[in-house]
Amino acid sequence: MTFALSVLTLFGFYALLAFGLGLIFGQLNVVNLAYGGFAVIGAYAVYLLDGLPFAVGVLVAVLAGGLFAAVTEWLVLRDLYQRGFLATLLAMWAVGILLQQAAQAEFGATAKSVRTPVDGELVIFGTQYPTYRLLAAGVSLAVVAACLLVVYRTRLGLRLRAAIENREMASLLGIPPRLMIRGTFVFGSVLAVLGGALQAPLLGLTPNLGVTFLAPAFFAVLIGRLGALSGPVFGAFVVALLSAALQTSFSNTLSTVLFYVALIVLIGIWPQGLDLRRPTWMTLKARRLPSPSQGS
Amino acid sequence: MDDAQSTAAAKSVAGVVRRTPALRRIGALAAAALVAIGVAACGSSGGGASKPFKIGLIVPLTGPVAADGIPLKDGFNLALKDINAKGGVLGKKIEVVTLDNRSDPALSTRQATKLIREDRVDYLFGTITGAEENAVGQAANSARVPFSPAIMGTPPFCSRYVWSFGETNQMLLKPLIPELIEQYGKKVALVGSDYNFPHEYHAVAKKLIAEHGGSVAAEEYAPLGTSDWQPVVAKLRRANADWVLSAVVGGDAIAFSKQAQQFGLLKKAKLTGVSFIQEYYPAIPSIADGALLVSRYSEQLPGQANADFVERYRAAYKPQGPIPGVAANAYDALHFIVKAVEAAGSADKEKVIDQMAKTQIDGIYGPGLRFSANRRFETPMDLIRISPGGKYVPLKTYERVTDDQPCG
Repeated sequence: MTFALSVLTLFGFYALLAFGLGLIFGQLNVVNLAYGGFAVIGAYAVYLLDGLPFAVGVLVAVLAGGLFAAVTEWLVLRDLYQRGFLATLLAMWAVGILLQQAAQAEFGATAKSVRTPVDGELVIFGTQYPTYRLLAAGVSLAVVAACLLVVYRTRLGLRLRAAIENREMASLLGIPPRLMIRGTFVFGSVLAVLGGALQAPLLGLTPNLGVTFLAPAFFAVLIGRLGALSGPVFGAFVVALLSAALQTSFSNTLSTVLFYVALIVLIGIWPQGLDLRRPTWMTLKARRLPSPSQGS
Repeated sequence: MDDAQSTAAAKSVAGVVRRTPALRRIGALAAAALVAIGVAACGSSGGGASKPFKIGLIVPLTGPVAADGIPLKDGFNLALKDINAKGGVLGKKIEVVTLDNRSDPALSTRQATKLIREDRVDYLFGTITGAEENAVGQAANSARVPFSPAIMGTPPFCSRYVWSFGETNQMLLKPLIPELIEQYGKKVALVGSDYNFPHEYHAVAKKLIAEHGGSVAAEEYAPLGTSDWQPVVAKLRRANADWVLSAVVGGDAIAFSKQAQQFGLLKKAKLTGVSFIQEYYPAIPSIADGALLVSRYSEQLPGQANADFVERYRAAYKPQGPIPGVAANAYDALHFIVKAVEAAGSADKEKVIDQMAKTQIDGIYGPGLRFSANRRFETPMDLIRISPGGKYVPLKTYERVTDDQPCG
């Protein structure tokens, strides 16, 4: 049971980060290397507002992070999209370094701490588990579920998917490309800020924290089916399951090595991402095609 | 710094050249040459027959252990300010070339080689992790340049050219283990970050635990930068130990301590170790309060030398939390090195090293501080009770804790 709960808590956090990262990558074709930095903004924001109720701190963190993301998109990315993939990747790398150094200048390199808003443990099927971890996972998964609902069940989601599929065609059909791009970047970044803020009470906050967050989120995006917005969420589940399973069976360092080896192998075997749907030739088309005997 | 100034000067002059007609270009180039000469002259400071004593400081100012690297540099620079204000060493101000090694051992080797060959430094100082220390130690040893680390932990590299000012694992653990076995119990679990220092720290601990009739119920390590400690905590819980000795460091120490508490490990087991040194206290006060620890430095150390150091360090660098011990180590270390160089009467490396073995200083840790025959910087160590408000109250002082590990 403890294993299931630890997978759940990891999944909640990784899903939030991976969904935001996948959204930005899908819509903007930008590999956001500053993504961990946005999570650090969230963590330090709740540290600064530690005197206020935690929920208020998280809300302010999300608003401030959203504002920063909008400014970053306008200042850094706006004119770089047409320069291609590498230009935006390098620019976001620079933003990541800037965020890390700014955190070091302001808060110092010594670890900081945020008090846990909810103490105590819950008993689930006879297993004691820290209440806050469950709460953070619940909030994260609820946000991801809401995002998926919006993407697949609303008009906004349809426009978003249309813009990702073919931006030129979408803009000809009246979907404003500029707004979609900026909106996606801000929203995707806000998810990282939220993730960082929710994780803050479990960690020691240092300016390097972003690096720790970035790797699992990237792998989750790579493992998920490319082009599908639900892909990174599924990828996050695989990453969480793999990480928890290895850590339970092996020493922590060995499990970290095996974790990355397994992920690289997975990506090597399925470069297009894991796809659990049955291939089309096994389903619709296969049934519709006339058999050779009918044709003759 | 000199390079940056020269580059800036060259850039500004280049800007002028682009915009001026041919005749004025000559003037601009001449000005550039003058500026460059001026900058170079500032760099070599003073001129004269004998060159100033030059120290290469290799230190992680960014990366996972910057929290230790930055105070090391600050403590060093505070002592440098004192010494240069009083005229420096051998009649000249000390020159320092500082390089950020980002805690990368390969980069540390390249930087040490550059400092030795190109900058022609007389002494190397700094590093935090054992891997960096080993890298710089190897380079220093083969070039026969003296090198001093100042971080806690047994030096991984033993040589006539390496003089570590850090408190060794034996100094940290010899007084602590018997005290904890007596007060907390005999069954111990060990946990640490996965790099040299925690492994060596626990190797010494295991020997001492066995000597005092205790047993080790679990030993777990996790890489630096681990954020999810739940699997490690679960394994430690299953070990059912009386107390946990932790050598988890940096931000990980905070994450581990908090998660150990959240997952109920601390309901039964006591926790102590280097995860509770004073610089980490502000992040985990309720967890650390009441714990026993042996440490060399705390801001509460008695004596005028420490009071002056604390006042000046706080005024100069405005640390948000307690002053880390590595800053005090680096401060005393530079005073010690300068005294040895003065006694040698020249920057001759062999003569300086001969004097390192004979020199004594009155420093933050008390009077008559010196190296033992196996090159351990021996100071008094305190058994401390961590008290509310972050006060590290000395309960007992061990005047000189020896370290018998041989160093050839």
